[in-house]
Amino acid sequence: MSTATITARTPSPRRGSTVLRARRSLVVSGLLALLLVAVLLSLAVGAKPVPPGDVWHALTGATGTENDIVVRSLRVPRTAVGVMAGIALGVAGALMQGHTRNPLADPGLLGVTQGAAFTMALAIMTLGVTGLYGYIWFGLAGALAASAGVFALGMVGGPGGPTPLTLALAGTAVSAFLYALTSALVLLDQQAMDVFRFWQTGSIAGRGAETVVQVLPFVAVGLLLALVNAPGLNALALGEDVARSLGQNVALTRAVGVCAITLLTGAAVAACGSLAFVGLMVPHLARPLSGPDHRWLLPYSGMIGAAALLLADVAGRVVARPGELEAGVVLALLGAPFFVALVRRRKPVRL
Amino acid sequence: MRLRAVDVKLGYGDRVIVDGLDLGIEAGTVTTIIGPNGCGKSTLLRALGRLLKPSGGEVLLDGKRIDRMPTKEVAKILGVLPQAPTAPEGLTVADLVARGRHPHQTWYRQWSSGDELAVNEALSMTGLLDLGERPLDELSGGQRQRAWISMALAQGTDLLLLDEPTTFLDLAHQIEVLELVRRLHGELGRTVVMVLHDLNLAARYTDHLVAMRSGKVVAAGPPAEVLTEDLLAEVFDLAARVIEDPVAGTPMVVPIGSLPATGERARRNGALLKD
Repeated sequence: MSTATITARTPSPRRGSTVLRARRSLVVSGLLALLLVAVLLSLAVGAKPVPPGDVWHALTGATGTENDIVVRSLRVPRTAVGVMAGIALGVAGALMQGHTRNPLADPGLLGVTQGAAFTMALAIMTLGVTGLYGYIWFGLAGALAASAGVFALGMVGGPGGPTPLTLALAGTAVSAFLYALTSALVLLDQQAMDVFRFWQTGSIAGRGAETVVQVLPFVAVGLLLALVNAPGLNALALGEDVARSLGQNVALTRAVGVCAITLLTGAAVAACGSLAFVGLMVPHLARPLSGPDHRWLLPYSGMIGAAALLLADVAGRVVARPGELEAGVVLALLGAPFFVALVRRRKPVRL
Repeated sequence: MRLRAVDVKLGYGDRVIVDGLDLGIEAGTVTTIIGPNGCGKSTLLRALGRLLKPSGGEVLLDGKRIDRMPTKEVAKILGVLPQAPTAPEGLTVADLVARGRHPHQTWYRQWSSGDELAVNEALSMTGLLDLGERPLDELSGGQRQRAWISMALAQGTDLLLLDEPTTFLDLAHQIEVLELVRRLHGELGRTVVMVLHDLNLAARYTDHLVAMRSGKVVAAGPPAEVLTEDLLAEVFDLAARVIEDPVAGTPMVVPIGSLPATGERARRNGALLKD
């Protein structure tokens, strides 16, 4: 009551107000600047440092110098893969935590990661697929199949469509099952084991422009579905009954969300391996900036995800010279303590 | 008659809770459903609000089958506030109320001046204008419940279904919420259907009382006709005196003690007869 009497009866700033708009544009430009810095570092820093002038030269008018070749054939595709996978995992993580209303959910919860791992191992072993480009397709197929299986299993519970709980349970069960199968496969086959070990760590190194082209359509469709899903997710955040009462088709919203998560996560893990930690951590960084509105949380998570993945990759190139540390290792090493600190500092957000 | 349940059969899975129930809600009235725990009153309210699909019979909204209407169209006529709803942490009162505009928005037009107006009106009607920027979790229980009602109000529906809107509130806050319901009805002409546990408050703030037991409507009508000592025994197994509320003039229940369950009473009466 005391605050009510102290506060003058001025209309409070709300959506559309200039204060809020100024804050939004400040955050958006800040995040874009962060992403730009990450991209530039990713292009310039590495086993062979390239000065900023040469990076510019390579991008605008390459003449075939050594630095031009390094930047154009290695660093640009690597950076593009990092940006794409980072956006995909960040957005998928925010979607996943929104749909399950669980702050500790990661995008791999639908069995996507283990599905990709299993089909890749299977393809390497039985079909003798060796090239990276070959097994990305198998990874994608496995990710989609596993997710569809989890969705179908989650639906068994009742007529109202899968609930976050049945989805999480089905996802955990399917993941454990696929993990067991994958372990059995890689124990039998040395070559599958080698590829799989590398893939499991998660890295954006050594991916060519072809990888970008391969997974880009999946990421694009996934992002489009995520965009369509955002207002419905806001309604769902108030509980299923309130969402229905607000005229939201809950089953459809969930299905669209699951499709978006599957496409985004499937594309990212098929191209870069298991980097699910990005999806777990990034929404927690984005939420203080965006608030609980998914129309802002999703794009913020995407931008932060891309920046985080690139910066981790750059750090991995610097710390172990002349060798490199995989981005997945760096993310886990830096991210885990950071995440613990984040959780300890403020209570994990209730969704 | 705006909202009607015709011979509805309701339940979850194989468990039938309500069978063959008829109920009509007149426009511009406040209807309260009372009954013991587990009698199916919340289930009925959920069915009226198309949150639960009847396994038999039908629910009609303005004469049309509610389950065949587009859910977004229903959401412009009928708002439902479930029991103890939850919101994500950090959501402000104004943001919550703004989400009530959901059925009026499309993916390409997210916010209009009409939305702004409806939200401001809903906030001022519920006395929350000054608390708009406060996170929901910092409010008192009564304020929070008012914020949720404000959201349902911003939805701009003629009909409002409230499931136990006073649960977990102290008496002063219960009165605060029910006064608000009375104003929604009196000033805005909204039709309200709610589930309440407090019989005296139900009698005070209601035009039409519906008493339920074991999935059946036992009595329905004005509180003065429905809330009798016989009914309390039949519906709640409660021995009570019903006197006139000295303030509102409505029936007031003064409990004496619980009676044995109806079945047992019937058996005992039978035994007595045999003797």
